[in-house]
Amino acid sequence: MLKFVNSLLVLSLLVAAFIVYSLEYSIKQDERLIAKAKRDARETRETIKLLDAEWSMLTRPDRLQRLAKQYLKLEPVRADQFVKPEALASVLPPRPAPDPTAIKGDPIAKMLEGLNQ
Amino acid sequence: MTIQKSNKAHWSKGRLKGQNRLRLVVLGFSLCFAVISARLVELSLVRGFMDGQKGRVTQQARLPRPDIVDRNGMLLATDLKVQSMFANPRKIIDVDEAVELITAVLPRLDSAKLRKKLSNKKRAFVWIKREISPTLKSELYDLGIPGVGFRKETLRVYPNGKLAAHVLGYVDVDSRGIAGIEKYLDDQGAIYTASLANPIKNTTFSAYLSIDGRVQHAMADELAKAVEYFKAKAAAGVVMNANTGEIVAMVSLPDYNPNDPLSAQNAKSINRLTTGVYELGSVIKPVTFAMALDSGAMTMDSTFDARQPLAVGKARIHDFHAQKRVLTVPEVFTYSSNIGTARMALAVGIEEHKAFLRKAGFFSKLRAELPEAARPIIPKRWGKLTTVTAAFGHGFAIQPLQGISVTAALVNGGKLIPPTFLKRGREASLGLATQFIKPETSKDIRYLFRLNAVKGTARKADKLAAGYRIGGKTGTAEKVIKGRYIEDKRLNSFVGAFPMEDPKYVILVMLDEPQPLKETFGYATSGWNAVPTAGKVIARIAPLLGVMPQLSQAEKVSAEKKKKQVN
Repeated sequence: MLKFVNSLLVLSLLVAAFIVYSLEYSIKQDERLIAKAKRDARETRETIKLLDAEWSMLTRPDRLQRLAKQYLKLEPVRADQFVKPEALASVLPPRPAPDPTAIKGDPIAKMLEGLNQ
Repeated sequence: MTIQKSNKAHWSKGRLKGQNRLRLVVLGFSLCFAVISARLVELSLVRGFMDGQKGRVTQQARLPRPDIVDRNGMLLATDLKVQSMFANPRKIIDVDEAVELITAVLPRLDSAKLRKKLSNKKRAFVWIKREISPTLKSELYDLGIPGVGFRKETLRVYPNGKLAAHVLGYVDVDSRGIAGIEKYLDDQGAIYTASLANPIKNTTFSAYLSIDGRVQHAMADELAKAVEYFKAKAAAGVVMNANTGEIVAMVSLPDYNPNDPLSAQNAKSINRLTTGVYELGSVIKPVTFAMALDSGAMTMDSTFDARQPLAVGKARIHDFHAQKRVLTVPEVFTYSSNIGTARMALAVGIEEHKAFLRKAGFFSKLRAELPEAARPIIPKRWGKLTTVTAAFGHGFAIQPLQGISVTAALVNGGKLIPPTFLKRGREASLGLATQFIKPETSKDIRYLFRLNAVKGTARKADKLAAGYRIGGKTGTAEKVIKGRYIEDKRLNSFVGAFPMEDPKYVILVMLDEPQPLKETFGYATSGWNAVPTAGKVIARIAPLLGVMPQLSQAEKVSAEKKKKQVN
């Protein structure tokens, strides 16, 4: 009886030791992975900051102004170019009146045909 | 008792003598282990879940310096990680070879100095070059020189260069703030800086400035053009939100590049708006008007005798645009009459005048977030002549920023709001505001400002920024050099606001010693240089700030004409 219990204990000790060892091993692996991921994240974050700074440098107002002058025909907005939404109708060119002769036959029927295809 | 009894029982059965003692030991050990396991379970499971990540914070390194961005999130200052190269001279085997290899990659390094550094075997650590780019670092690394190493360092970078340099300030090589907002983040603003920190993630949120990068650039660009055109020595300009006290743009030329702090050491590139104090001249007159109207000493219908120069003791006060007649209040404003304004101040009283200027904050140092703030220069004895000259802005020198923040109070309904360089909401600003003058007085001042742009000395600005309903006051102050006013050295300024019926923004433009030109018919007064410059600035920034233009019929016609000419 005692022998059986003892051997069971030894066996369970071995099993436990193996489990602990393998757990520790896999945890170390995980820790390495985590450390690597953290390092990657930090490096990526640093790269993002670097690119942010570069973007900001490339889009700084004085540079954009120089480039716009060189390559675009745009000018600063003048006061008379602002139009309030209510006043849009007086500024937009009039909408051309529909010309019934342009489409022969029944225009709505044609549209429906177009839908069926 | 029970143990003794059972012991006796065992004795009687004749078992081994030590067995019971053994059992006692086993019991003791099991108890110990039970306690240990219970403690383990408590520590690892119960506490671990309850405390979360609390315990980790102490291990974190120094928190990174916050980025600085403008009010729209445009990056103005950030930290970048760079490499710095150092050497241990004791470990360097061949100094000549090392020097040759390093200078081949870094040709700007002084080879003689480097040789001396590396030959000094007493030291175990010398910097070779700090702050090198990643590509250069890998090149140097590939040389494989023994005794040479790299250390990661933080470099403060200002990607927008000179933009808003005077607001940002700069840092030293160890990333400590030396000037501007950078210094504020380290010193008085440390609580604000700490509020940006997120210690769990070891990051910080950006510090939002009140500056709008686009407006800042437009102001700097127009001022630079004006400096060149009028051959001025320097220029400065501020745009301030009239209702929140936020500084939207602040430019002082000549400026410097914060990426190169040495360029900031030049005495010419000081911030003229806070570090310098000036006799602002006529742009202070509206303060006198507001005082006289607010105290009830005059109404908009009062008149002032400007037929004769005003004699005070030995001094005589003249008018620049002398009309030699009795002037109404609006006329005193548009002709910028010194005599009329001085009479106003005298009508209110000397002590009252002094008290009003104190209430405006002109007698104490204004300190927003920028540490570079100069104390005003106020005459020690305040007599009748002091009040007379102070009425038109002479005899006392203040920071121009003080001038504009009081002007904001004159037009925004009378609320004096301390200016700020950090983004602030309208409610927070109202909490800080004090009622400086009555709202009705502010209305009268608005009328005078607009009148001066339609009929007075600020007409050129109104023409250039047609539709934005600007108003303002000009100032041409002779400069004081060694205690004497010099006639042909002027500090010209324009202080204004737009749109005048409900001012959203106030603006100040200053030109230091602009020269008379053929195009200005030999004149060098403010109306010929500071005013048109301000007009151009407003025409550029008003659309950026969301101020909707309203053109009058006449202005529409002239815009139409211009369009046709272009086509």
